[in-house]
Amino acid sequence: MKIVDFIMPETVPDARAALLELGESGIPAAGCTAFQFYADGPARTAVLLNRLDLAGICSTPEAFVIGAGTPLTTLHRFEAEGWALNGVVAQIASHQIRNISTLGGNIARVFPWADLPVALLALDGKILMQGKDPRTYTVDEYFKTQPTTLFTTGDLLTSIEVKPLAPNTGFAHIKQRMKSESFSMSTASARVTMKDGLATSCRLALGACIPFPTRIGTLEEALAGSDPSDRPALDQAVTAALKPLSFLPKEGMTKDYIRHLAATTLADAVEQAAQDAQRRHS
Amino acid sequence: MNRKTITCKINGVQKEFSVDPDTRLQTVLRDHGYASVKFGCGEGACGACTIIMNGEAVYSCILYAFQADGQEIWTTEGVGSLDKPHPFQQALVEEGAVQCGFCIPGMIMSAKALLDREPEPSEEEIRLSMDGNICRCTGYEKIWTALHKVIAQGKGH
Repeated sequence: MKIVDFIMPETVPDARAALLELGESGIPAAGCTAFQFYADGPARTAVLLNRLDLAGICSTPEAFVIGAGTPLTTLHRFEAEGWALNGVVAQIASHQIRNISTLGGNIARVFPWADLPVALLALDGKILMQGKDPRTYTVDEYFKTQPTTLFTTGDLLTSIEVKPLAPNTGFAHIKQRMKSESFSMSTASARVTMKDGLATSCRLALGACIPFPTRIGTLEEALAGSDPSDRPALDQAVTAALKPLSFLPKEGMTKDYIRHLAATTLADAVEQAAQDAQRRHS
Repeated sequence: MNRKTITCKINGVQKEFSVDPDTRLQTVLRDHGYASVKFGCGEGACGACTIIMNGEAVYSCILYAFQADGQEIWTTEGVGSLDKPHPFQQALVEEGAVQCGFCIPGMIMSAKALLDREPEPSEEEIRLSMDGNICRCTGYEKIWTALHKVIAQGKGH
C-alpha cells in the first residue's frame, strides 16, 4: 500500500472529518506496523491517530478501560489486581514492535495469526467505537466476523473495556510458534472460575490454527462442574469439542498435526488457568 | 506525492526534513548521515535499524518518516564516542563481543533503552528487551555477558 499523503489531526472529530472527506482514499493509522501486510493496496492518505489522546489505561470496578491508541508496551507494563493482558502482550512480536503497535491496530482488522482477539474473547469485554454516534459491541459481537465489516467511513475505534479477573478466576494464554517472534501456529486463551476444585464457568477461545478466532462454547459447557486437573477427561472433552472445526495446515504441517497441536494448546491453557485461579484464590 | 516537512530532535539537535509520505524513517536517517542505522531486513524483524524514539526502542525500517514528526530520536551516533563510550559499548569491546558488527548499533540502542528505563533489569526484562535484535555471528553469549557486566557493575544507572 502506497502512502501518498498524511494528516495529523489533534481531535477525534477532526480525525473523523478527515476520514469522511477522504473516503476510500483515507486510512486510519497509528503504529502502522501492519501496513506492510497490505500488499499492493491502492494509494492512500494516512490519517495519523497518535495525537488524539486515545492512549492510556484506567481502572473502574467493572472493567479496565484501555484507549485504542495504547501501545502494546503499556499493556505489558501495566500492573493491577485482576489485570491479565501483560502475559499476552509479552508473547507478541518483539519489544520494538510492541513499543509502536497499538491495541486498536491489533483488533481493527483481525489477521489470521492475531493474538489479542483470542485473549479478549476469553477475558470478555466491550469494544467502543465512535461513528456518527458512539456505539458499543461485546467482544463476541465484535469478533463474530472480520470486524472491518463493522466500520463505515469515518468510524474510529476509541476504547476497549476488559473485565478484571475475580479472585477465584484464573487466566492463561498459550501461543505455539516456531521461534520467539514467529506468527502463531495455534493460540489458546482460557479464563476459568473455580470453586472447591471444580470449574464453575469458563470462557475459552482458539485462534491462528483455524480461519478466524472463536470461542469454543461446547467445551465451555462441557467443563462446567468438572475438575480441570483430570487431564485424561480434559483431553477427551477438548478433542470432542474441536471435532467440528476445520484446521489450517501451517509451516509444512498437516491439518491433523495442527488439530493435535490446537487440542494440546487448549487443554494446557485450561489446566493453567485453573491452576492460576487456585493460586489467586489462596 | 505531497512532500511535507517534518521536524524532530535527533541526538539532541533539532532537525527538519522534507519527506515523501511513503518514505521510511530509516531511509531519511541514513540519507542524512546516521550510518549506524543499518538496513537489514526492511520488515521489522532483525533489529539492525533500531533507534530510540521518545525513550523506547523501535524499528526505523517499518516507521514512516512522518511518524517521527515532533518526536525525540536517538541513534548510536549520539550514544557514545571513542573517547567516552557508553558503558555497554565499553563492555562489548572488553568482552570481544563484536564479530561483523552489523547488529551492534541496534543491540546498543535496545540495551540503552532498557538500561535508561531500568538500570537493574530482571532476566525476563533483559530477554524481552533484547528479543528483537538478531546476531548471526556471535551466538549472543558474549553480547549477553557484556550486558550483564554493565548491570553487575551498576553502570546501567
